[in-house]
Amino acid sequence: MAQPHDVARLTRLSDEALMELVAAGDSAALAQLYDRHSRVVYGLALRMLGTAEPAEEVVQETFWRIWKRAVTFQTGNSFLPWMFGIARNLCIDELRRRQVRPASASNGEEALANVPDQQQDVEQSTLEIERRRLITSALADLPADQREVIELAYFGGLSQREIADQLQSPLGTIKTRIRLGLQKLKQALLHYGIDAIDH
Amino acid sequence: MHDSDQEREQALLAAAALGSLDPADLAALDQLLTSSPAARAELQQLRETVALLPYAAPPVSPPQRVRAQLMARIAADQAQRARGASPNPTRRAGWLVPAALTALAVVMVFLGSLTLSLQSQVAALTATNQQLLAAVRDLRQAVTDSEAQQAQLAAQLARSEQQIARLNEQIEHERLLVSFVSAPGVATRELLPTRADLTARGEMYMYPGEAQAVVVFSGLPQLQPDRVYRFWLSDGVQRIAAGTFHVDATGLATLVVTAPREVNAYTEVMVTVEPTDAAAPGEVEVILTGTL
Repeated sequence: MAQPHDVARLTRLSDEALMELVAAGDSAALAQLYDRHSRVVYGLALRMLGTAEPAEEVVQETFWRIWKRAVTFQTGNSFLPWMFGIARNLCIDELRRRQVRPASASNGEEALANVPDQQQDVEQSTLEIERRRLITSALADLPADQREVIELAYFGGLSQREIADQLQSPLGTIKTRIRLGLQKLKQALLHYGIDAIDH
Repeated sequence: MHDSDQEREQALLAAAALGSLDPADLAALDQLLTSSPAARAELQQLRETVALLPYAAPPVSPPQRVRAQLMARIAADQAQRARGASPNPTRRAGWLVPAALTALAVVMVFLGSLTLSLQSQVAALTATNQQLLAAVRDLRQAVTDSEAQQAQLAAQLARSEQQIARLNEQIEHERLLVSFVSAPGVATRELLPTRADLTARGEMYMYPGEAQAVVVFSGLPQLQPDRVYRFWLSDGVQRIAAGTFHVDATGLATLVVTAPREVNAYTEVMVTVEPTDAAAPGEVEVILTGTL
């Protein structure tokens, strides 16, 4: 168990620095990563899966895999894409087990109404709120058809061909929308200064 | 690089970053990333962008029991690692001399670090193995796709060659007709209907002394599939069948006639409607006649 002064020290470390400690077997560092990111991972899983129980399993399994695979995390890489990649793949596995995909990428909001939220670290909460505000604004600025395909791809776990089938649009059109949408998203986040709060 | 190539590459990278790439595009992505450091950097940037998308979903604290269960699993895992790294000292400690204890400690530390190192290597090798398996799957898929594409192109080529042959045949036919009809010295003979209700007619182009002639028909009705128009030459003694033909939707047809001897040796021509199979029973009707 980490001592109070250890916890204070860990809160000041970046995600990537914490991963070095996790790779060395430091469970307090893993707990710190959990406290920082489990809310977003749970929110992502709820959005993709729609119900609480499998979403909770995704959260626990995501951080278990981070613990077990910490030695494979390469120094110099960013932690968030790696962590969300694990969580999203677990959600897609669950969707495939059910053999049912969400009817719409915008669902999951309904499930949240029944999930009581809890307080968390103020600093971390502020960071989350700011990131959420920026990505929500950037998504809202996209044309509706580009936002739709990006959400179907990421939150729906669909491939480009599956999106084309679902929307009954040509595959080339879907590829173009994804390309343009993601480019605009990247530019918008750079414009909003997402780098400044991300690192 | 053309804009379309660049757009295709950007589309590949965007789909890869979003995790929505179709399996058929994996080989192209692999090739792009292998050959282009700029593409690798762009993919990294796009992945960082995509990593912000989870924040679009409202963050929610998972129940406390999730954290408790996770930390219990981790504690059990740490205990298992510790048991694996250090043997139970109670069996040996009572009779080992200090030098042996020191040596044992050194061996334990060595084995512990060796275990950690081996675990790390196994994990790395497992990851490499997964990557290699994925690469082999991609290559197999690419080979299958390539073979299917090759077969498709071969079939398309064969169809194109057949079409070219048909067009060449048609061009040759048209060339013969034009040379026949427009050549100086050509003689024309008219074929007229045998019935008053028919508006059909025929125009025969021929050269005195030549065995070939061309007949252009108009106003003939289209026939049922089991019926055919047949052209006849007659010298007053013998009647010779000189070819069959069908008319198109506008009632037009052209027939190149090759007679056993010069055409002007015949005195009469006619067109009949007959069964397609000459051996089949059916009525034969003369609908056009003409004199040469």
